[in-house]
Amino acid sequence: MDEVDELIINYLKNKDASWGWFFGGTRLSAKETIDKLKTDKEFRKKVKQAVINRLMEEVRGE
Amino acid sequence: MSSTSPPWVLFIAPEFDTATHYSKEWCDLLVSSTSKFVQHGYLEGTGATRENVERMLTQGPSYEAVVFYNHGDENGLVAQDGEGYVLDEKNIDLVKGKFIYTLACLAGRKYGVKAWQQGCKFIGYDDVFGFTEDEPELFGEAAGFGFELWARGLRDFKKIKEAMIDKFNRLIEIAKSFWTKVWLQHDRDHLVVYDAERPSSKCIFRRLALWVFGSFGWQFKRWHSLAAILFGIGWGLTAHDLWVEICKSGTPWRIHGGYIGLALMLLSVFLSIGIFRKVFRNA
Repeated sequence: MDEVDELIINYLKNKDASWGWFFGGTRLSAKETIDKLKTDKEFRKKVKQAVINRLMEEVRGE
Repeated sequence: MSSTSPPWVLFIAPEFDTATHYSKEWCDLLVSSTSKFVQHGYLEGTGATRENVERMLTQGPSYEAVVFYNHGDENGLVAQDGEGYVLDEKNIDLVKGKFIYTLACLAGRKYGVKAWQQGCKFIGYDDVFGFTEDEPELFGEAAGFGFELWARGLRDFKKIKEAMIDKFNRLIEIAKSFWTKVWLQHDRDHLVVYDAERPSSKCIFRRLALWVFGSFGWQFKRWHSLAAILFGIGWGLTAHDLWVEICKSGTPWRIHGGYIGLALMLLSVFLSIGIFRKVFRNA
């Protein structure tokens, strides 16, 4: 876990209990996502990369 | 006014979990939004089984395209209740030469490549397809856009891909949630359109074969790589042995027949590669 992972987790902590999204066909609530980020290295890597890619594109666009 | 009848399209949308409620709904919308432009068969929910798909593709009208909205993995497109696949490598002959359009996760990795090798056009994703419940309609819109263009008559797959990416970008701009933007971008970046682009490979031998032979490089099997390695080892051993023998005689710099033989072998390989490149790239 690094600072980016912590930032993602903090972002997800603000989501309410009904919030959810789908990753590879599996529904994940914010809490399930946080748990998975803490335990599943591959998932953490993929989510972090997706977030970084988005942030990079936002920075480039500005 | 054109006298040709609209193309036949087989829509397949299993429905058995939360994710597939969304994908089924998106497929329903796609069926209705394109119904003016295509004739269709629709296998939905419990009807979306392998048997039914195979029956429709063999006994039904001549379908030009198959649209699949459900789970998938590298090996194929998943059937109702997650029981096996409706389409995979084993029944790939049934879709030979057709257009396959799907939002299924990962299908662009292996199945899409196999389908493309069979002369299919393939639009799908080579990683998981992520979406959010905040703004699911944006993902449905993005996922279906390429097929809408095809249904309206666009057959230039490079243009379809460009238009799909533009669509994703517009939707990323209007999305309210950061998480939605993240996963729209992720899906956009993993969109594959086989025909507009050639599938890539992480395997160094496959990449070499694709570089030399173009798309024909996908036809090579592992034993072709083995043959190339054996040639290299054989040539190297011979060269080494020749060098040792020639050094024994004390005049290694004289032009021996062995040098000429090895040089001719290399020359023939490079000439062959050049000829193959021309033949297969123009094929």
